[in-house]
Amino acid sequence: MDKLTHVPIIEFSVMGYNVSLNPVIFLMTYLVIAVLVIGAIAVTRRLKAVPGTLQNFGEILYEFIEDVTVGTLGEKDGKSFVPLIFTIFIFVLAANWIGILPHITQFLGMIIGVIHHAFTGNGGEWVIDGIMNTQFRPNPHTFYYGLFAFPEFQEPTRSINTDLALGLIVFAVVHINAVRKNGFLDYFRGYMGDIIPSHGFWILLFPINPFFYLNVISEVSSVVSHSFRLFGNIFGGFMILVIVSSLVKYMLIPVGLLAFFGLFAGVVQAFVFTMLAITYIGQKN
Amino acid sequence: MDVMMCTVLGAGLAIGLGAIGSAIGEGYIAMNAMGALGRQPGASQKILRLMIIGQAITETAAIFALVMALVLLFGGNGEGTMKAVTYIAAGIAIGFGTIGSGFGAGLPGGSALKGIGRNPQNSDALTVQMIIGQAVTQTSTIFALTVSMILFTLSPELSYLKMAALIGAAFAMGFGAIGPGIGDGIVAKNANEAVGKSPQNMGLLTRTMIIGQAITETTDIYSLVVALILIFVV
Repeated sequence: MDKLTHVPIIEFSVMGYNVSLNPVIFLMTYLVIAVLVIGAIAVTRRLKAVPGTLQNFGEILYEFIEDVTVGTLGEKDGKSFVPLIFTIFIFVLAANWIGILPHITQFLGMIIGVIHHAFTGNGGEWVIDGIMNTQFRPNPHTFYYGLFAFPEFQEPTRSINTDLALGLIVFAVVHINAVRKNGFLDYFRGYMGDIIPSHGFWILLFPINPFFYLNVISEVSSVVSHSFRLFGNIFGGFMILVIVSSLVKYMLIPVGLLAFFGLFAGVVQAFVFTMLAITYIGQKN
Repeated sequence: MDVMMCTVLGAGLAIGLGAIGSAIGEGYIAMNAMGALGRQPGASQKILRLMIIGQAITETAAIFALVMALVLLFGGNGEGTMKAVTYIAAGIAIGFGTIGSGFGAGLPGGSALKGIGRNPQNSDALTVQMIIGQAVTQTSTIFALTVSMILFTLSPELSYLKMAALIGAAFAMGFGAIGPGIGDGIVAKNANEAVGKSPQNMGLLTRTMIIGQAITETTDIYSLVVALILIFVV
């Protein structure tokens, strides 16, 4: 249960500012990026007119996102946003899915260790303490000890920092695109509401316009709701998993929960996040 | 006041109130799935898929309440009277805050299934529209979760004014989130019905729906602002 409150943190200072980061989330984020880069290279390495299995899979995924984007933003704008939207989608999807097998490296390390121990006799030792607590402890000098020391896989989206970063990227894209498209004056006029006229010199009255402040707050709160939606769902799934697992002593039921919260809710939330990003862009376009 | 007593009370308030809305919403979705099955038994696969996706998203509100309840139960180990008050306030905020959007998120799901019952060809458009509508409907719950988590982590200095302000913030956010949740759901429900009738207008409908929901949510933002003022300024 101490998993819930324990967060590993490294602190250091850069140019007088104290910076703290979670090394596990950091590692997992780069792992997700590595998986995506390798996957993208593997899919596009040998493109053929008649696609093979891998290329076919990539094309289905890409065309699905392309359809949704073009359907919402229109043919011309939609096409230019597809790369960004698709990147967001596969990043969030991979990030949500990386935690499905949280202890896979320890599991592999234990299998190798037990076989190694059975043949050579110096791979480690068995600690026997009843049925539930019997475990194999590997020797720190063996070649597979790194697998044991590897941290438990966890979703980068479980940390609010990743979600807020994604939300802020979308926020920046939405507003930069809106300014580029409509010009700053028209963009700014959008915050004025209808009570006080917003044409000509009237726009200089914005500091006393209550609607200006409300609209600014509602724009900022859209970032909060966008990123906390993802965070709450992924973190909630993790928390339910940890608590139910410790209640049933890690027997069987967590597998079903992982399938629901990891696989199913992971896809749904990745899609929801992407759809909202598209709609935010389309709304200000 | 014993802190443990207050975490237990807060957890009970959180999940007890938080389960109301989502349960009704999911029931509404299943009801319309039955109606759709009666009309189009051939499309049972599409109906089942849409029903499960819709119910899973509707459940989000209840999951947030469950998470806060579990956090309060297992993580609430602070000390002092003020800490006890923040735990009760966290429970109130998330408990009342999930009622509205739990119920509201069920409404677009139900009308999407009604639309599939009318014409199973539209299932893709309806799924996308339903997910957007439900996701925006959940904004009020997410604000409640944010306020609840802020309240949970707070450790203010002992004063009766602050105590009242924290409870007030919890009520402001909790009750303030009920109306916008249901209201957003009504907007999304009718947008989904319109998509079911004429899927070619989906772009226009989605845009108008989001604007309508954003204006409906204005009152929710008032609540959020007042709650944050009560927490940080008073």
